[in-house]
Amino acid sequence: MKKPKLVYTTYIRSTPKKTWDAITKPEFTRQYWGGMANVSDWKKGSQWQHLAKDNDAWITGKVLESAAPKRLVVTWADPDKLPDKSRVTFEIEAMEDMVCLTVTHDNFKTGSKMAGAVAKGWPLVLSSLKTFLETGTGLNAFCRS
Amino acid sequence: MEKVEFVYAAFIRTTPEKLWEALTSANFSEKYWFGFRFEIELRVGGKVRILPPKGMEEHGDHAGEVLACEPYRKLAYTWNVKDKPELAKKRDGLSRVTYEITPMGQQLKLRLIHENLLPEDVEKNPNTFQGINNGWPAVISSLKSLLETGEAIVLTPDCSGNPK
Repeated sequence: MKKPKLVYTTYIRSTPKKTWDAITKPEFTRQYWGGMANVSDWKKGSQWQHLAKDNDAWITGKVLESAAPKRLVVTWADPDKLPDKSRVTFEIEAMEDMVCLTVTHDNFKTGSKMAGAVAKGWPLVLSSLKTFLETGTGLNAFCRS
Repeated sequence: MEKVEFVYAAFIRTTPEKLWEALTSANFSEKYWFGFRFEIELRVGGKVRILPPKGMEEHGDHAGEVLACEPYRKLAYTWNVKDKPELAKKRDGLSRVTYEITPMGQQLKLRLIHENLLPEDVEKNPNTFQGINNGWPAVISSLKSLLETGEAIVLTPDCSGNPK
């Protein structure tokens, strides 16, 4: 069976630096990612965590590659099911007065339910990120999805 | 033969009425769709034309037909591109584009499905707007910006989209 590979591309009127900061700084992620905080020092080999408002880690992983403000690669796992890890790659490309952001979620373990769980989430998160960078506020659709 | 489909979703802070107008009006499409004018007769069986701006005539004059038309909820049409002869031979009927609109509180979900494609319709190089997989995210991103900020994002008119 073909392993799933989720790819989502969006074009944002912003700069690579602002887009990078919006993905890696908790004070920004909280504003568009359903209140969640992405926390790490974002150095290669470091841990990163995706924390809910009560500091409960929903997702955790390691930083595999970090080349600010262009490319970030992390592993992605539920802390209760660490062996079931996958990989997320953020690529930020400057194009004229905008950026092209491509997020690829792949390397799922055979039989993992993670791909199904995140498939609907990425379009919402990245739509909200675009709105946040272009208008200053994220989308408020998370409790309904 | 391998059948390919492309699915994309975007969440947009707008109303179904405004999105419908933006999706079905040539004056709107000109702003967010590389300058192309999307002309449509809003009834099943109605004509769809996607007219290129000046200087981009080689990118075709798409002429399709409306398959489904449920205002503010769903629109489907055939995508009739001018194929190169070798590609036209491979095509098993026209491809189809469907827009589905689902309201969600202060925003809505726009889901786009482009089906009955050929592997050749998908472009492997990401640094271009060519190919269904590169073109649709650019067009929908620009549409989203137009509806949310009043301004579409600038898409390089020559379709090259080469990053600086």
